[in-house]
Amino acid sequence: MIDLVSSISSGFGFLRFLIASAASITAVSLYRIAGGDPLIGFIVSGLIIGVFASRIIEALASSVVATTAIAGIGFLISTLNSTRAMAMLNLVADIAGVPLLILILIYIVLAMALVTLSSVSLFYILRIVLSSRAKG
Amino acid sequence: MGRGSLLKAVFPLTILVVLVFSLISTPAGVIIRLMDPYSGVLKSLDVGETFSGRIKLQGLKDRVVVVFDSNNIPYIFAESEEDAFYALGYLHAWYRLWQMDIQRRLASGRLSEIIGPETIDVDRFMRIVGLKRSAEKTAGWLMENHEAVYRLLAAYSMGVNQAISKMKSENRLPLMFKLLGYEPEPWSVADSILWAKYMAWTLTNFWYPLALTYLYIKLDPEDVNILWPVHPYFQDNVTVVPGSGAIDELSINVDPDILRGLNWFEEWATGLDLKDPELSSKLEYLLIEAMEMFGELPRGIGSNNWVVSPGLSSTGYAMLANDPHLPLNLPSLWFIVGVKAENYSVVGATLPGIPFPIIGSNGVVAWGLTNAQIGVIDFYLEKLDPGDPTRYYFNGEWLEMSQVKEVIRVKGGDDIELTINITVHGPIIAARDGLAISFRWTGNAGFANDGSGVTRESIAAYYMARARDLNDFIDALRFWDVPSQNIVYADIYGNIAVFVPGLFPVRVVALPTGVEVPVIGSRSILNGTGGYEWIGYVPYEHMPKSINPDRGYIATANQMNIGPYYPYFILGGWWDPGGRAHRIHMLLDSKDMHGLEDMARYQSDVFDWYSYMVLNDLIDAVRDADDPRFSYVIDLLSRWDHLMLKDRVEPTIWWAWFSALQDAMFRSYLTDRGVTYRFYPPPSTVVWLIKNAKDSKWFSPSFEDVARESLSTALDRLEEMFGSDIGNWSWGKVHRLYLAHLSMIPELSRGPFPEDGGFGTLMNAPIPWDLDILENPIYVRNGPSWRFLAVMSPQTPGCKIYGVYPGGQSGNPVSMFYDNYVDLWLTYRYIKLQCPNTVEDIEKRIAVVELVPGD
Repeated sequence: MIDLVSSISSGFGFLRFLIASAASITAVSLYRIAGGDPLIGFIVSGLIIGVFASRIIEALASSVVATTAIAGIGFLISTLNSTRAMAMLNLVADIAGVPLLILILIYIVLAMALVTLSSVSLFYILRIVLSSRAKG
Repeated sequence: MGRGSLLKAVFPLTILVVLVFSLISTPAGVIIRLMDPYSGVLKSLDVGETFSGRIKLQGLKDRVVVVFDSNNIPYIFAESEEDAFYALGYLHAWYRLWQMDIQRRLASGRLSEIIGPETIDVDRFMRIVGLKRSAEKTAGWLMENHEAVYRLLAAYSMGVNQAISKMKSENRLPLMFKLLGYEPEPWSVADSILWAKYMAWTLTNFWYPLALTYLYIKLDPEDVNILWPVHPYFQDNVTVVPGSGAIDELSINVDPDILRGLNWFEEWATGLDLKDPELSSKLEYLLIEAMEMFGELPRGIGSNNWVVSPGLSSTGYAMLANDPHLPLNLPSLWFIVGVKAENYSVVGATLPGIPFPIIGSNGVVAWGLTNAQIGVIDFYLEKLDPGDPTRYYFNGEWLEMSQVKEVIRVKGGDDIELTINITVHGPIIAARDGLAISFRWTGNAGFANDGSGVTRESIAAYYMARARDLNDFIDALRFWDVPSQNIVYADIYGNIAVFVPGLFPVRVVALPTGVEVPVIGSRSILNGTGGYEWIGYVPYEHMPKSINPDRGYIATANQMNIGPYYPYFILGGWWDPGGRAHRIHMLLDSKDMHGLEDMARYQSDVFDWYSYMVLNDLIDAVRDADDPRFSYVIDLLSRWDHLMLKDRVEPTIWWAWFSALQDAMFRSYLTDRGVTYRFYPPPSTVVWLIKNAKDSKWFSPSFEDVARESLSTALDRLEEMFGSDIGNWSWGKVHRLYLAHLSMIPELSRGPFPEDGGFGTLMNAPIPWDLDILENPIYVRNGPSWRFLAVMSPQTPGCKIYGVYPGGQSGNPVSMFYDNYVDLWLTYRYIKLQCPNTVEDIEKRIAVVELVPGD
């Protein structure tokens, strides 16, 4: 993550990153609300960010981070906002004898860890792939 | 990015992964696993939920449409039967996969693999019984000999397996798999047969010959025959099949009263001198070992069904009612479904794991089941070779036992290697001191009585649902092997009938007079060295049956099946004491015409026949007592209508009094003779003794004293528990229903609910006659597991068929359909089932699912 942040801030500027991310988030959210496929949303957001970004690598990378983050947060919010999901969590809390809050925290930590892991991994993969192509 | 940066990233990631995996097996790890957003419990939210949409399924031949009504009952419309049963398999698994899997594990002795050492004894027992072995042989036999039915079972399995694959690939296995941390194996035809075998096994009353032998060893022979008579008291006028029992010109060759009066434990009948001190001493330990293995004596397993002819029906059509009394759990044993395919149309109750409806209607005929209770298991005392206990003596020679080796895998423990020894009779369940007990059960003996375990009830169940008239139905019953049942029948042509199909093993017993009598079942263990063998089964043509009897109705409640002149003397069996049978007859005799509402009212009837029979005798006995509490209690009970209603106090007082009375009559008698189990005679015996033997030793020093002391004890115990204000003693405080989840996890269970009814009421809700349960509550755990009513009018789709069970269609505990029938069931309401001709006929639909062939 440190690598990611420094790359973003040094590569094309933090402000541009924020703008790109916001645009990406908006685009993906609208697209998801309309019932679209997340993968296509990801591509669309990448294109939007590309407009703002000076280098394609950072554009794609920040797009990955932004879309994965929004997907993760959206997933968390929609899950925890669901009556049935909360009923299930309550049930598991009762059965396991663990406070509900702890379960929710574990869930959030795991979800965020998953998001972070996947975004960082994608970031690195993209950088490596695109860098090697650029060099080639 | 340089290589160093990549390594820096990989290193912490590796640590993280190792950490997560190391936690998986710890309690914290289990929580992490359950909360994993990728494959944890929240991924299973939608499994067992109903939705509309289109699903592509591999192996399906044509499009299948499933329409769900507002009660979440699926109606399957398919071109072919194979596709219909494929879809049913998919639906069963979608809603009840864990239940199906745990049932399969229970029946095959594989619980310990997922639970741990706690279930080793259950697993060992089920391995010995060998249902899985018989099921596999039956599946093989069906494949070779009855391909039509096998193909449907295979299609069903394919549907189940498609659902399993889908859930697994999407990380959406039901909650219980995730809690227990395992995945289901593929479903097979043998698995469906296995569950049917298990149901048959539990309906076998397998424990009673052991218990009666034990009692015979410990007690005076005469007492055993009075307390546990060959046939229960008071039942000759209410047998399942009306009449004398003779079939045409054929009847039993000895006066049945003489046969009933014989001591069937004696050597001429059993080949064993059970009163020989040396033998009885050895046998006692063996019996205890066997009984411990068989577990707690079942209580309250039974059922009601009856049919009313058009002449007694205010609807003008024949009517049928059925409520099988079975364990009440969540998820329920039952799953309601409608199936329509070419030449096949049925609505009714299925057992998840088995494709063919067990109780239901096809719009032309309807059928319902109660357990026949006739003895279909015999226990044999094997003589072992002192030098080689794997050999046993039979028909004059030492034979080698066949051996089956099995391994019980235990979660968190070592594997257990098990060697099952099998004689010509069947598996050995206990052995010591050169003796062993084996048993022969029809479900393992098979329809050819060759020990193959091949039984054909799946064929019967399939053809029963296809029957278009009485003859078709009778033909289908030819294949009904286990469990033996009282099957009532009604059709749109106004016919009513009852049949008692099944494999009834026949032995020929030479009486002390030398006369040979064909008998079914036994009352005790038999000599296994030869001479006491089954010679075959009662021929199908001699199956007890009654078609359109003059009285216009037929009623069964696990009572005696047929009159005493039946050509085979029914020696073995464990019938209901008769209170329910008498009550059905009372109700059906009470009016000239009965309506559908009456049928429903009878199913919820809570009239207690036993109190009706003896309460006045008991009240008269205590009327002059000087206990100041008695007068109020007597006044209450004198005005009581014998209804076991949960908000009334009279049922509580009656139950406590009758319990204390039985303690006074039998507790010290049994304990003084070394009986360590609470084996009390059936309540019909107590009623008979009160009516016929008030001066007998069972009421010592006098009937009045015993009645007085027992009432006093009852009131003392109730006061201790609920205080001196009798108004606080409502029946619902003692008598409560608990719907336990199959896992016994309280959070997934429902109740306790104060409940009407009791041991002997039609609305069957048994708790023991035991005052100790006041301090240590025992909940009602059995009862009407499926209430079914059918008016056999020829109208479809506007049929009048109703049903309900205490549970819900979904096994998903957060689904609204997990327990939505419970309240309906508790308040005696029904769900209207539909008999559609087309998809468009389904009313109140909530979802439509299209299943289409695909990869």
